Parts: sequence; structure tokens; C-alpha cells
Amino acid sequence: MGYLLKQQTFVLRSSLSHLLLGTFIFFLCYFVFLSLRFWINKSAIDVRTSDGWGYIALFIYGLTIALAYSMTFTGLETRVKVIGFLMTPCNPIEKYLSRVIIATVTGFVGILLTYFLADGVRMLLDWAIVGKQVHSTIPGFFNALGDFAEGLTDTRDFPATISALALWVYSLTFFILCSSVFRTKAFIKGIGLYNLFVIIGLIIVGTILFLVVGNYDDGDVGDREDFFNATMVAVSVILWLFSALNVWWSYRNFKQSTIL
Amino acid sequence: MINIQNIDFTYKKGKKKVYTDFSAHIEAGGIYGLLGRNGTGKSTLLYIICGLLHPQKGACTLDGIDTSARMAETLKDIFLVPEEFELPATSMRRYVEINKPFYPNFSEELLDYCLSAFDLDRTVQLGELSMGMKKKAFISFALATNTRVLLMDEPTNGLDIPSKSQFRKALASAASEERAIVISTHQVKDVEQLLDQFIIIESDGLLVQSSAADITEKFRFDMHDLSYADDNELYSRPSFSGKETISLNTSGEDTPINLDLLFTALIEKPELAKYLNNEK
Repeated sequence: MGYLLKQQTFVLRSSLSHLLLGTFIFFLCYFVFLSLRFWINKSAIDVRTSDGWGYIALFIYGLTIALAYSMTFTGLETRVKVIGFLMTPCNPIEKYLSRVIIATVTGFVGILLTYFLADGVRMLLDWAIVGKQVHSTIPGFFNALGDFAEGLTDTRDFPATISALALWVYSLTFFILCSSVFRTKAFIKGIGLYNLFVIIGLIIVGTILFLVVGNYDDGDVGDREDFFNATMVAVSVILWLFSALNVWWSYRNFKQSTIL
Repeated sequence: MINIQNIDFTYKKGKKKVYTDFSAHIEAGGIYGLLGRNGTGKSTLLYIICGLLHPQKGACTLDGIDTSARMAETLKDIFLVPEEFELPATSMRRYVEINKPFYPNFSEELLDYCLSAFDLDRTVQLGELSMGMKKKAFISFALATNTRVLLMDEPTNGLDIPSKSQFRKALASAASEERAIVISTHQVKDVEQLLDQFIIIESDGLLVQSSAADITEKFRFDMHDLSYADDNELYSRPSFSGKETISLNTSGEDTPINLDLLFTALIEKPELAKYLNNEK
């Protein structure tokens, strides 16, 4: 497995470096865009603003991890490319896991580092242009992450937080599945399908909530909350199950893939 | 070793079946020539053997294990040199370092021997080589893996005349009793001296599977005047210096196989295959 990881990292080094460079430029453009009005006014960015940016950065981070997962099976677009990988003497599960591990490390660690780097460059620009009170968005990013983690331990916020987490995990596994199904432009195609599924899912869940919770006109507010929480937990259970299905399906696709 | 049992194969988009109830077997210690006309499925057969294509019916096994599962235990014994391939833009040394751990019988000595036979060394940058040079580097690596089965699809395509001779030299040095080498080619002249087993396929399946010894025992390959006639003559075709003939070997004397003539004869007169398949 170690040799396979080394080999695949070597094979994918070009695609991975392009992904990380692209993410770095994206983060930098985002920070520069948000900083423009401060730079024009030569004013300082206050800590609360940079905290807000941290929340948005967390969202972008989650999205770019999905992008990294959509590249799980990148480099297997043509017969010539796929033969080398499929003929490597390892079991299909090892090859599958090696790709998922590389996507995970690139997504969670690599992209986080590019975010830190982009924020560092933005701070340097801040310091050069405004000259004082330079703030990092990184504490804001970790505050947002901490708020999310707190939601998992808080009884009141737990149903909403767990369903948000389930939706995110589902999204990541969905993009692994897309990568195993679509040999080219997996992210673009995946986004299209994902939006379709999420919209359909929201319509179904929204309709249930509207029909049931909306009918508690004279009922106790506690009943509405209970039903809402129960729905969120049910949705998250369904999403976890679909996530497992996505992983199984993507492995099955990979295992049965041929050079056709 | 490799057993191809009653396979049916059709490309998804194609209506024509490539193989129907096709069977063949490959044993260690032979250099097999896989011959056939364009579109008869030579490359397809190589891909099925190594598990890159899955037959709709039947199975291909290596020591009883289905190769379509592509498990490590079978893949470490099979190496494929496809007609087209890509090599990373790195040095041969680095390429070997990354890929050799997957092949337990990898031979550094054989690699150096093959590379030197092709006038290459480990310092070459693969990304800077021409297609022919890349092919030589890749073939050197393939031979050095020492896998029990080595499949080569048109290995001499893109090689210049001296390189073809170098290829024969390298291949001869890598052949062993534990190893089966299967070469699919149209350019029979490039490898005919090396081949000791033949699998000849036609559009409707296997035409002949026979050893060189069996062929020379049954057939004679001669050159005669155009006026020459013999009752034992099975096939002839005119050439610049007379006519090339295949006749029944009644004298027991071995003659060198004219593979080009044999292949043409089998295509034009498929009934000749019965002699080789022991049906006549």
C-alpha cells in the first residue's frame, strides 16, 4: 500500500499541484476582492470582519474538498492512461483506497495549507497597503469550525448540526462516485447532478415539514420543534446511508471498470 | 498456466462478436506468436488475458484464478506492453525505483542488460525520448520484471531496423522455462526466428494453435521453379525466384518455417488448419 501511495502520488503530482495552485489563486482572489474597499479607504480590517470571512472561508474549504474528491480517479481518461493503473499489481481495494487517501490528504491538508498561504499573502498585502492592524482570518476560520463542533455536543443544535454534517459527508462521497462514473469533467457534471438531487431532496423534506409542522396551528411549539428535530435526524440517517451507498457504488464501478 | 475457456466477447457498441466460444491455452517456457488479420481481436485477446476486458461468457484463468478480478496475486505475474503507452517525464532510474517494488522477481541485471542492448542507460530522461526510444525503455523494464506472463502488442512497431535486432537479442535473453511470452504482431519477419508456439486467429475464432516443432514435423517449406509440381503440395504462391510451397512433410526432414507463407496459406485455405489441429 505504501509503494502504491508513493507511485500514485508521483503519477498524480501534476494534477494535484494544479488543483492546489488553482485553490490558492481562488482563495487569494477572494481575499483581495474582500480587502479592496479597505485598501481603497486605507482603513484597517477589524477582527469581527475577518471572523466573518472565516465562516465564508470554511464554506469554500468544504467546497474545494469536494473538488479534490471529484478528482479521485483523475488521470484515467484514456485507454493508454488507465492501463498502467489497472495493471499495477495490487488488489482493487488497495488501488481504490490509495486514490481516496490521496484525495483526502490533498483535500483536507493540502487545501488548508493553500488557504493559510493565501491568507498570509493577503496579510502581507494588507500590511504593505494599509500599514497597520493586520488581522488573519485563520482564527475566524477555526472559530467557525469550533461553533460547528459545539453544535454536535449541544442537545438543542444537535439535529441541525448532524444533518449538516451528514449532507457534507454525502456531498463528498457523491463526488467520489461522480469521479468513478465520469472520466472527464467529473466536478462540473457532479455539481449539476448534485444540485438536482439536493433540490429534489429539499422539496421532499420541505413538503413534509410544511404539511406536518404547518398543521400544528394550535399545537404546542415544543411539538413542532420535536418534529423538526426528528425530521433532521431522520434526514441525516438517510444521508449517512446514501453516503455508504455512494462509497460502495464507486468502488464497484472502479473494480468492474475495463478499458472500453 | 493460462487457460482461456469458451469465452464470448462483444464490444458494447459493436454488433459483431469478436469471440464466440473461443478457447486456447498458454504454457510456461514458450514464446507465442499471436497472429491474425486486422480486426480479428489480437489486442482484445491480450486485454482479456490480463483482465482489462471482461468476456461476457467463459473465463480466462492464470493457474486457476480468474484474471478479470485483477487481484494482486495474478497481476504480479502478468506484464502487458500495449501498442500505445505513456511514460512519465522522469528519469529511467526514478521510474524503476517507483515501479519495481510491485514485481518480486524484478532483475536489475536483466534491466541493465536490456537497456545496454538498446543503447540506453538509467540516466535517460523518459520525457525527452522519441516514441521508438520510449518503447525500448519500456520493453527493457517489461523484460526485467520477470513476470511469468509477458504480453506484447506489436512490440516492433516504431522500432528502426537495428532496434528490431536489438529487440530480438533482449527478448532471447529474457526468455526462460518459467516464463510465457506472447507477442501479437503483424510484422512476423521481425520475430519469427524467436517464436516456438503459434496462435493464429481468424474472424470466427481460433484457427490454429500449434508449436513450431509440430508445424515442421507436418509441413515442408520450400522454394521451387514455377513448373515444379508435387502431389504432396498443399499450397503455393509465386515469388521473384520461382514459387514458395508448403507440402506435407513425408521425408521427416525439418525445414525453416516460412511464417508469412504459412499465415497466408491458412487464411486462404483454412482447411490446412486441420492438419495442424490433428483433425486430418
